[in-house]
Amino acid sequence: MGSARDYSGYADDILIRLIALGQNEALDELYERYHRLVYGVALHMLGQERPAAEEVTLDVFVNVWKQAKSYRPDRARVSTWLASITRYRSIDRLRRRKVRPEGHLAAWDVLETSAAEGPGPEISTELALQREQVRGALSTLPPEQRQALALAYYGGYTQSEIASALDLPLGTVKTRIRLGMAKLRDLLQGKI
Amino acid sequence: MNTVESMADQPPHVHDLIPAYALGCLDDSELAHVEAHLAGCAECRAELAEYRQISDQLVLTSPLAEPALDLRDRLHARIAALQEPPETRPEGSLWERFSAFTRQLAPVWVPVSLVLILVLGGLAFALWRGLGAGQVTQPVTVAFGGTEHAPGALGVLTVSATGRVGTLVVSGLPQIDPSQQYQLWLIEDDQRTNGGVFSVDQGGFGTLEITAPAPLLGYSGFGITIEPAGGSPGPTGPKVLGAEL
Repeated sequence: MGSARDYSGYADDILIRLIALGQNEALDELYERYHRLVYGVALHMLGQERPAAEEVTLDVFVNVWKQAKSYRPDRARVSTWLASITRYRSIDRLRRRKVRPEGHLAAWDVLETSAAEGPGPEISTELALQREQVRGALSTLPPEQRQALALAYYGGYTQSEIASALDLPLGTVKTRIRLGMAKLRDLLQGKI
Repeated sequence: MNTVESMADQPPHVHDLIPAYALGCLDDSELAHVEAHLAGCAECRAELAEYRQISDQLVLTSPLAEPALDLRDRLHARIAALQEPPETRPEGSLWERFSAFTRQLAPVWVPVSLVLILVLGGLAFALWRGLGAGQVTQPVTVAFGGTEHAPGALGVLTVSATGRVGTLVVSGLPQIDPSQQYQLWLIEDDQRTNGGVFSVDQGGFGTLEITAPAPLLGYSGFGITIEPAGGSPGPTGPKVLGAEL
């Protein structure tokens, strides 16, 4: 079912305002732009479990429909807002389960083998540039720092849980996370 | 002496814990301490804002993936289910349901209602104080309604934290002659100040970025009229949308 109106020319934050006005077709356009990102985040975090990832994706867009009026463009870009909501919802699921799903892989190393992507129908130029900048910054981190950050970020593990999983002193894990984030801040601050 | 004692009493900063807090991986034993400290330390809150920006961006590195084709239809169905109740209710039915609910709470309603009156009164006072000078501390949304000339039109004005800048988004406005445009008016008593002109697309949608000479929420209302292209010094055409503050 095609949309009766063409929303493709509207900026993301305008779409959000239109959704707040009750324009469901604007939500359709937002879904078209970001469902691959939202579903991708959920699928990556939930161990490639498609039904669970689909549920999270639905939750995220329904949440956008409900909370569009509270979106603040000065706080975050729409893409970041959507992806962050997805991450939090996914972490909630992971922590409620206690046991991580089979095949769960909280790592960034897998992304290095992903095919290079550029702007196109699946991804806007702006989003492609953002991803490239952040991936570039991550690639400068030592593997052990990247590993600790990934377990915290995608796995939803606490520092103690990471230390236990990797059989490392808690202080070592804390240092790796602190130094890794500090390096990322130095590289990315003001650029994103 | 007093300086040394006051320095000793100062709580230590939590700089070392902020990156982990931003990631959401602090253990419970440290979480309460950090949150309590952040509540009273602007320096650490500012640092947290920087790390949160980094943390929010990391998720963009996730691989993209394509869900099942029917997921969009499932989203439509879920939204439709949430929209099932009518959009507007007669006030009487809402009041009847509210009254029935409060009757159930009769034993505790009196003290609860007193608390509510105090809380709502306080919030209204704070809002009046906050908006009385036309100032805002966070974005505020103002809804526009259509007039008899455009009964299906809607609009929303989002006023920025500074109070002088806003974004207007409208829908449902009719197409007008190319020699005409819609013009926004900022209303204060008998004065009508130009807020800008805009056109709408074939779907009746339009946007307007506004920079006002005074805080937007200091005006008593807003109106949108049909004017010659480029605008008029004052309203001359029919009013299509309006909002009162």
